[in-house]
Amino acid sequence: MRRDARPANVARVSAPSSEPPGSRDPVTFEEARERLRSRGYLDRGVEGAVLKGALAARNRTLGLLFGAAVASLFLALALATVETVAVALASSLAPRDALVLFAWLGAGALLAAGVLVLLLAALAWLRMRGRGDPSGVSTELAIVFGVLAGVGAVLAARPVLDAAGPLAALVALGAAAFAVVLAVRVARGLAFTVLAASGRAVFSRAPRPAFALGAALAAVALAAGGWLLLRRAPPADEPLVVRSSAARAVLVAVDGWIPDAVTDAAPLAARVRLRYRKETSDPAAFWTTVATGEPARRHGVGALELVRLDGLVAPVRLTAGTGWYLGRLLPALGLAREESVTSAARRVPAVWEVAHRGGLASLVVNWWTTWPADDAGGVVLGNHLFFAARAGAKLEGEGWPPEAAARAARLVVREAAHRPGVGRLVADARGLDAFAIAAFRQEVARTRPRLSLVYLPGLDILGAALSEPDRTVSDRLALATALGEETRTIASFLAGPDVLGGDADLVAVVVDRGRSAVTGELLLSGRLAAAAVTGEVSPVDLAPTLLAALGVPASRQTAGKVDTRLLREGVASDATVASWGRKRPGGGPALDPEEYVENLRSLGYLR
Amino acid sequence: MLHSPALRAAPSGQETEPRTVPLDLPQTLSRVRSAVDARLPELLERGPTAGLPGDVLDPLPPAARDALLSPGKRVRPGLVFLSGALFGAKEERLLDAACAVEMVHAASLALDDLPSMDDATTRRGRLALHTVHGEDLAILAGVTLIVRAFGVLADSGLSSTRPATALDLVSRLADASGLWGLASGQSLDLRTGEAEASFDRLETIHARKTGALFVAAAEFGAVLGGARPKELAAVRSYAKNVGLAFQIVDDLLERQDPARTGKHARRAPTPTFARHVGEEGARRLVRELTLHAIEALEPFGARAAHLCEFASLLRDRTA
Repeated sequence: MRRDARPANVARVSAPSSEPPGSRDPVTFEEARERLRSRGYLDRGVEGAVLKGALAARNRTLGLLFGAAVASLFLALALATVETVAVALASSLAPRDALVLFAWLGAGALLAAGVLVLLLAALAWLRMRGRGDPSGVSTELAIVFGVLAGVGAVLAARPVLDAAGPLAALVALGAAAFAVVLAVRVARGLAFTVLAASGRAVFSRAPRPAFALGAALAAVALAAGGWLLLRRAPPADEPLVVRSSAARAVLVAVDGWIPDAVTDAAPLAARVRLRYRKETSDPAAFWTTVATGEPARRHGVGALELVRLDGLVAPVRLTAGTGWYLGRLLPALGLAREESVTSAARRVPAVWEVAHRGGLASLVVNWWTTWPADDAGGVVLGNHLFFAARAGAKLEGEGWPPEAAARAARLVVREAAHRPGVGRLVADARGLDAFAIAAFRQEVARTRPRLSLVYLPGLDILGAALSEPDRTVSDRLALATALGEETRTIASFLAGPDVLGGDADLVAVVVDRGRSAVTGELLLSGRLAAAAVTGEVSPVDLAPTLLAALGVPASRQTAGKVDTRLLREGVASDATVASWGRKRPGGGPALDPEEYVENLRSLGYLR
Repeated sequence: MLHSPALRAAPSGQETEPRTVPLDLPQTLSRVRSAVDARLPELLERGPTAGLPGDVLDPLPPAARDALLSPGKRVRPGLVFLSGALFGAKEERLLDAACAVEMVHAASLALDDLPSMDDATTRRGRLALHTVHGEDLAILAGVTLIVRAFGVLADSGLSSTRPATALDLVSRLADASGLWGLASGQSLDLRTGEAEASFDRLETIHARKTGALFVAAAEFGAVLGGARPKELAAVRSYAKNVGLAFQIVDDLLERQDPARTGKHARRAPTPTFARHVGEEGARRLVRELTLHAIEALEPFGARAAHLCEFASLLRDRTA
């Protein structure tokens, strides 16, 4: 017997007597449509937003435009979702900030989506003209768009997959899958809109394959991401058992060009000289790679700059393809401002933190991403300490332990007045190096740390300023003179007892040739260094190699590996651990970010 | 998807070789039309009194035959077949059900044309039934066709179709023909003048005069194919939208060129939707109804391609 409610085929047909008294007839098409809808017609889901435009518009062109606008909205939603998740996770944003970021990114994504939708509509139109049967065009476009969306979403989420924890990676993957499905739906809907607007006589379609494809793409994206996730998932921290040894290692980072004649001279003679090639010219990213053994996409310091958007409490990283929009356009419109990267941006432990965790006394001076300093890495004299001390500001967060920061601060001469023009730059660059060298010497002399690092940016700052085209002749002369003097200062330091001329068992000097260079040079000396090595060295291998020389087990999860060529035979520890553990979340006091940025800007790092 | 072998049994003589490839829609509809046209006289002639000597003197069979076999598009049988194909119903089971629907439709045309109703002199370009056989025989022919339609369904329950399913079809056809369908729609139509032709009244008339049988036809195919309630609802929604679109297109065609429909009625035609929303508005309603009908079939995917195309064909027809 009949299985549906009776009378099924007329159930929604109103009897004439049921007409509401006084109900007037529709006077517009829209009213007629609504009246029919209330009587059981037009109720099977074509209210899907993309189609609605085509159906409701007064003519085909308007219908197409309206449909494209709605499609753009949906596509923007997909783009903004993926980007928001990626940027929010990479920047460790609070939920409220993530929502504000979503609004910002949504606005930008709308522009990009508009262009994509126009392309998609044109493609649909061309495909439809190119074949007699329009059936399947929507499916074809859904396939193309789904693949593009899938690749884009996975690329956007990749930094999170690479470096974040399982939960964050799952969220990123979920967003990617959502974006793929939505993109497939938009592509199909828009193609359908184009077909509807075209007024083709034959209008059949096969929507299922598109949905199935969308689901398949999402599944593939999830599977690929899941595989990456499982591959990269950090196992539980293992105890870091350091081989007993009394070896001392020193790593000096010279950012800037030193003439070969200087490094070839006898005082700087090293047992090993190897060239390396950089993956990034950004100093913060490169020197963090040197200090962590991880490429930028994994250590998280992808660029020097962060951006603080209006309405956001925390700054955001420029990732997931948002660089131009967040880093250029919005600041240019006065809707965002630059900030510089801090230790909070770094997602993996640096060598000084690994050494400290292994029980080795360590010292780091003026290295990138050491501000704000905490107790996770031995003695840390942060890369803002010089400016804070010179300005007579509070030293909270500038170094660890606080007494070490105070000792270092006493090495800084308080600034009486700002020098004008290039004189200020020269004073800052040379003053920063001089402070770093003095603080390094002071702490090495005090504690004889097993691992000590110092970063000297003066040559790069002066060299970059000298290469600026709008410098006057007198400025150039002053800068060139300062460069020469600084080169001698650094050469003297390198040749001195704290570096190559001292008793450290392994001394590594990374001469980077500055931010504009793509190659640099590694000088190795000390009794643990190999006698003769040729070829190139990879910057990511420096940190594991340095730690291995001190008996610290290598991390199997770290991208960099121990380069045994660089060490004397038998020196490198064979021991490994699953990982060196996770970096402790950044904290510390809040420095006025604008002051920090201003200091970096004065050194020529920021525009 | 409709394939040819089952319809090959139809004595149309048009198909001589087995085919295994799916037919396109025009081919399918053509074959359905041939099969139905061949089966209708068989169903009319077969019965307990068939072959009795007195038959030759009875003027009713020729009248009924004329009413039934006048040239037509066989839209409703086509809908039965396409709907049944969606659910994999066997075509031989669909044929008699499709003929039953067509019988009721033919009866409604014969009765509509009567002087007491539309008072039409021509239908489909030919003389109206009552002008050839007389008003009395036209009434009797209409009644005969309706009764025979239910008989055909009952017969199917005694042979090829499960009795419960046959009863289901009988119930649906009764709904579509009587107080909630054709008869009611015609009654309302007759009593609706210019002043009473509100938008809602017109919709009710169309839903009952045209939509109800469209819905029944689509349901027949679905029921014979064993559709589940949700699937049945989707097919019903499709037919409901297509039925109204079909009627609006009919009205538009008649408005453009009254001769094109082949019907000449003395009674003033019922106002149409175009009176309320204009011709362009009516066309847009047709487009929307058609698209929604297609959308209703989305759960069936590519399997519903023929039904989707069928809706488009009805939308874009010119006669």
